[in-house]
Amino acid sequence: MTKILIIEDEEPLRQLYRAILGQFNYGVILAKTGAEGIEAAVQESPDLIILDLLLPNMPGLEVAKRLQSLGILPRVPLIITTGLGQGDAQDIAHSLNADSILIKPFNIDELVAAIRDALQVVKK
Amino acid sequence: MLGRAKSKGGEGLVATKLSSDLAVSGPVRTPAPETIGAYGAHMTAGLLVLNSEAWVTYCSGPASSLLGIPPNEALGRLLKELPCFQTPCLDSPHAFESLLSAILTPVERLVTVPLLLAQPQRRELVVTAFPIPVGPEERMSGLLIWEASEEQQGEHRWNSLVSMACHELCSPITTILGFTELLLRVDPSKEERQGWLGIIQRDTQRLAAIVGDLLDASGLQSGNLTVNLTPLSLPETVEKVLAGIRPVTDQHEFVVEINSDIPEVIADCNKLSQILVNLLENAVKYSPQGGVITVSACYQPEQGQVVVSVTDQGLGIAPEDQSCVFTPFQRIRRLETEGIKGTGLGLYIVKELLALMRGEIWLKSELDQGSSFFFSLPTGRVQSND
Repeated sequence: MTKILIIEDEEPLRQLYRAILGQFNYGVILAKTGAEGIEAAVQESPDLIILDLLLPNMPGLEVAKRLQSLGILPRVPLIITTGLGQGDAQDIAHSLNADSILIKPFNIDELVAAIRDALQVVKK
Repeated sequence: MLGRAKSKGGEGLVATKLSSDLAVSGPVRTPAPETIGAYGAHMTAGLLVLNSEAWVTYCSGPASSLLGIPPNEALGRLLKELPCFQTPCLDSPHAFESLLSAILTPVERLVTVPLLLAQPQRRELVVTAFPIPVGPEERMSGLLIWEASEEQQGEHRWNSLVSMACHELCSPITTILGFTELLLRVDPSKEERQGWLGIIQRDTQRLAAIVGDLLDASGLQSGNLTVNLTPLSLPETVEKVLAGIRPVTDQHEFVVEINSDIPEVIADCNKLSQILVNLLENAVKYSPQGGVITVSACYQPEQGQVVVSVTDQGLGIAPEDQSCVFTPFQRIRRLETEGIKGTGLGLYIVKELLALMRGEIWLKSELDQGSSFFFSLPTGRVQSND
């Protein structure tokens, strides 16, 4: 089963990811902070990471840098999520070599398409 | 000599000129310190020079004073580790991320962002990151730092409002949209359906509260919010508000310590209720383990006012965070407060509403020991000095 690590501080959104990805038979690992996310990325070996940029304590950018220094990125594909109006998200995604960027609010089809695209890149 | 750029976008022109002047060719990999120093010493703007990993290699005097850090303390440190860019000093973490990304990214371009520093002194800055080409394999970056003009400060505030509103609105909209789509597409169990509908309901209420806060803040900013001042019974108002709050939590005990003979306060009935609701909801939110929440009031005849306090036994607020709790869009970012929702407008609105009613607000708090928020309201009684 493809395992997806979600690093997202908002509880309702974590529940949404679990509900949607469960419907598509993806395994879901949830982390509510950057530190939890890094630990889960090391221990659970996810196939894909979905990372929110605006996290408390350790911003998404810092989390991505640490995952890079651990060699987890860019080996594991990365999808960045962020809200509308939050700075130059495209530039940040580019600097992190993210495979995709999901701008909130996104719908189910956009989420699933981004996941499939990112996983497809790895297969190629 | 380089002066301060007056026109909008002038920082970019100065940065471009600096970038080309500081560029060196051939085997030299770093601009000579005297070259940088010669510029830094003559500039009214601050200048930081960083290597490709964002270590500070030069800090000019103005940069040091604008950022509130001695030059020697900045040198040899990572930009993100400078105290001025740490929570709670930095009021605009996302703008800082964009700046850091511009320094770390191999794409060479100018990036200008507003940076709000909350401590040691509140400063609104404009920072332009520009590349300094030092060789085919080596990159450095410069940061030009300016005190924002009044026009730029107004622009920052507007952008900050839009950005924070978007951030606060985006998450609940995503949740509502996602669970609604799921309910239309799949046939969940009764338990799952109830859970999803519960989330939709809570996030819709959250959206309504955000819109209410934004409208209030907008009204306060434009001066369009008015108050209807009348004599009000404080014990009656507190009891009415508590009747709405008590059902929300079964983890908290509410205690009221107000003498029934306390003088009436001169206030707007709805606005006073709104203030009490806000303070009591905060007390509940920031004492997640439960506990006693006490509302008390005392009459100060010399000042002709009543002071009301709302005290909880919750997480408390660290001394360094206390100065910014009444600042719009300012929320305390600590691990313990993770997941606690809010626009960062509530206490700002409370403070401004009180000001409209000739009242004031202040707080006493200690980390892990709870918080007390005090506010004053006039009684209409003036003590005679005779």
